[in-house]
Amino acid sequence: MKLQETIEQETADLATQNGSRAPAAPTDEYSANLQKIEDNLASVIRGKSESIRLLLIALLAGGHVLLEDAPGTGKTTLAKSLARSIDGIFRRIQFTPDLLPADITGSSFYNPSQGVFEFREGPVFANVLLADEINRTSPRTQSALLEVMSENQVTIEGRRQNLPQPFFVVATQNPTEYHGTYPLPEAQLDRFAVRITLGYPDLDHELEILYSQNDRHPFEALQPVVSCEEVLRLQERIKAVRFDKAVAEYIVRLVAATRDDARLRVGISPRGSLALYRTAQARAWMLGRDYVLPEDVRTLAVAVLAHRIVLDTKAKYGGVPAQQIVEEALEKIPVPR
Amino acid sequence: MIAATLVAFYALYLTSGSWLLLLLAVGLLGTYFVPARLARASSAAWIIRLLAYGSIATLYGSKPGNAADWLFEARAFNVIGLLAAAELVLQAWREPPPGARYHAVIILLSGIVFLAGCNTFDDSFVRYLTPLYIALTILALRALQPRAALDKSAMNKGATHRVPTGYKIHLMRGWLALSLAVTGGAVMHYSVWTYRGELMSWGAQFFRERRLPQSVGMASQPSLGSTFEAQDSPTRVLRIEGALSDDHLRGMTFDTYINGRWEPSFENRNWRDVSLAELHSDMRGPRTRVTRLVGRGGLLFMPLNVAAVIPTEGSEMMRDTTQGRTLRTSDPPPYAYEIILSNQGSELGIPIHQGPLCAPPDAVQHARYLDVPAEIDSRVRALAQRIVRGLDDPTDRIEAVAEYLMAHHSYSRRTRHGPGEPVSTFLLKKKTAHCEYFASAAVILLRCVGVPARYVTGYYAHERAGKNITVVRQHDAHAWAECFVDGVGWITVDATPADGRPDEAAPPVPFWLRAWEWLQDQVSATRDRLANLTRGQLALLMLGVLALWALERWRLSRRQKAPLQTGFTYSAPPADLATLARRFEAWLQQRGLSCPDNCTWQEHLEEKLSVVDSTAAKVFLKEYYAVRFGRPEDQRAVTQLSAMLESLEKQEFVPREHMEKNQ
Repeated sequence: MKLQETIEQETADLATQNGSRAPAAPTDEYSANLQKIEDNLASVIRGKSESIRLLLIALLAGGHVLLEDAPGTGKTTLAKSLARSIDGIFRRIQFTPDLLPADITGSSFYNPSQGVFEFREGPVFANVLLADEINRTSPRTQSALLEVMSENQVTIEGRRQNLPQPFFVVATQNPTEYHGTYPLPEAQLDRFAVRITLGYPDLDHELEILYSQNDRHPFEALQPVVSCEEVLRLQERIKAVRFDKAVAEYIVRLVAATRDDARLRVGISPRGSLALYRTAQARAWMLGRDYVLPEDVRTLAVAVLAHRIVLDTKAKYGGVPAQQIVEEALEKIPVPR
Repeated sequence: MIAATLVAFYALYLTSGSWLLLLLAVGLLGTYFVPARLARASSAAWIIRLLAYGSIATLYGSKPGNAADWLFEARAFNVIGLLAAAELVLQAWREPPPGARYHAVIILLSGIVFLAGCNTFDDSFVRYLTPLYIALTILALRALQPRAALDKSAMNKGATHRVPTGYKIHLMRGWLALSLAVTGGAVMHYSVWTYRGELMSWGAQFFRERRLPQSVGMASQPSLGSTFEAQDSPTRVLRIEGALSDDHLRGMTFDTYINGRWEPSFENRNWRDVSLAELHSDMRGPRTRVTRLVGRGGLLFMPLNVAAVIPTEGSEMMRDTTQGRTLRTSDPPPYAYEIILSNQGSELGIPIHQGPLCAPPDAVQHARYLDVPAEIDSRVRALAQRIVRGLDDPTDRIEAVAEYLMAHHSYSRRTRHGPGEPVSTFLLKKKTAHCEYFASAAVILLRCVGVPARYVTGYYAHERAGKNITVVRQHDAHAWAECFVDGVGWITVDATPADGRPDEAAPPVPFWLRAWEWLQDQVSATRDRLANLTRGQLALLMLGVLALWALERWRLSRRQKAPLQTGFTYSAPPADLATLARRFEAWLQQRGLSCPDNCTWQEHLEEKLSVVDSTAAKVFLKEYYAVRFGRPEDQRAVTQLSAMLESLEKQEFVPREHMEKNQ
């Protein structure tokens, strides 16, 4: 709670609502911290600076990340490195079809020596949670995790347990293998702020990977560079980034354009526009500005919005990817000047 | 494969002499040098196809009279070969299916081209070109097989390059193929060349109609039998556009009756060409157009008393020399001819104009027309005398005979043909019978009373199909008599009772058949119109199609560009900032860099980086954005911005090429 007060104090005089001036520009200290995290991650995952930046944007925006990738591209390493960098607790859940919700949230155990029921925390009580292969578990377990993500707290037997802050979930799924999976319904995918695809490294970077892991994994050499409290402070900071009304209207228009599209069964929800709003702020802040430009919105649109779209059957099998629909919306809506 | 195809092209070139083949050969060779290909599902292929086929049709097509005959014209072979060659080149330019170097369609098409080129059975072909073509094709067929497996032993020995042992075997196969081709070609040459006559006639016969046609549904030789020869088929036979003076359309006449048959039969006639003058073709008057739709006998049907007959331009008509001037043509159906009718009537109420079809009989013919055969029962003569007792005028006699028949006999399509002479039995035993009997009886009776008469088969037109159009069907076949009256000429006499005439007796046509016929008419009308297009019109049509296709592609590409949404504006910045924005846009436009609405200025300038150096503009933009989206109320910043913009505007615009040159 002390931490909360500190943060509130620091941000007390910040007026972040649209139209009025936000005084705080990112100070060197904060951006240096961010840069440190970024460098840390880059030393472990080579050649994926864009994806790393997206990950950090999601972290700052207080959202969660869906990593869709082929196996072996470094998803686990990335999540672990992030946890180490922010000196947070790292937990990993490997989803299997027989996993139960209690295995995620934790449950009460009877301690016979003391004669009471003890609550044993589940792996969800972590700062960085890697939910591996989230599409391999039953929908019941999926919804347990997703509920935790949205509420930031766990209620077990009437008792509320708060999750550690910051709580950041990195969920992974393999986009090509569907045998034996329970694909996340698009409505649940909506809860992820950003969808990132790492992809295979290119030739030079793959060579680097081979050589860098010759003696030992670079992850073992990682040191924490920021603390969890600083991350929380960063998260509050970005809320001070000024969002001009015109740019906010741009976001709203973009999202509304997808709602009118005949090829979509369901367009993008306000959760999507909110996620775009926050991530645009985070990006602007990362680039050293205290105001959001339409350019931020445009560069983030696909990563933030594409996975929220529910395609009509005809469009889905007609080979229209969701990405294309977002790109078309970007082309269709004039940009505020 | 290209070699084999070129041999085939050469063969076709020798036969047809068409320069188009040289063009196609160049196109084919182009596939070897140019790697670009059309996508497999490309729509451009259809346009190219249309162009190619259209040009071949325009240049070489001739209007086929009859499809079956046309197939045996040399021209047809050439056109087929050219079409196959064009399709071949088009397929060569398409992406082949994965894994094959040439797909089987090309090989098939080259075969067709070669065969088309072979239609002259020229010696040089068969001896030299055929073996060459076959050998090259067999060698090319290798290309369809997957490559031979590597020689494993060579690899294990660590050979640095692959030993193409596969080639040795294939070379053997090649020689084998060549020798087979040569021997096979020699054998084929001998047998086909020797029996080419028989082969051609067999093929021709196969294509022609096998059934020797009755002359349009009427027997080539009417014989009085149990049932009326004409089928109940509703097939359309004639279409008449215009008026008719008489609904009886005569086809053939017969003058000799022997044992229940009318002679002479269709095959035993002498036909000779008839000139336009004989047909009075230069007469003026309202024309009625008759189109014969089926039938290969070539008979033409028209009323007896037409004033003039005008055949289709360029076609010939023939006339029966011995009988009553029936006309036929050797042109295949559909054949159209025009007739001019005469209104001339008499107090008889029937047409009496003696046109090109009405020639007065000479002495021999006159005798034949009065001849009552010996087998007719004498009681028939008595009956005839009884019928016309007291009447001297031939027309009265004719009337009496006709009325007698109509009153005392009734019509039925089936009759029991007992023993004895049919007409006599019919008349004396008062049997019911069909129109052939009535007509025969009328002729015999009239001859008995001294009126020259002859038996006529033809059609009875009654079915109106639309304004001024009459349709005649197979089941409207009819028989009646014609009589010669001194002072009047030939007139039509129909003695069949009213319920026996086709307008009553013929079964009605179901509506679905009418609909189907209407559809067929539309199709053939379109085909005729298309076949009659001049070259210029055809070219224009193809250009039109091409233009439509281009238009559609353009529209599609426009649509995919996602039209900009308009109709709303964003919250406006403070007025001076808006002015600055407008000034900057004007600045961009002056330098030809006007930015589309759907991307930011910065992105646009990034794109145009290769064209113009815009560092100054980018600096301005950075500041502009900071003010516009960061602190729009800051007046000082706004003033600074306008100062910046002014200096920017003053800068001279130097495109990048010039800059590099200067440097």
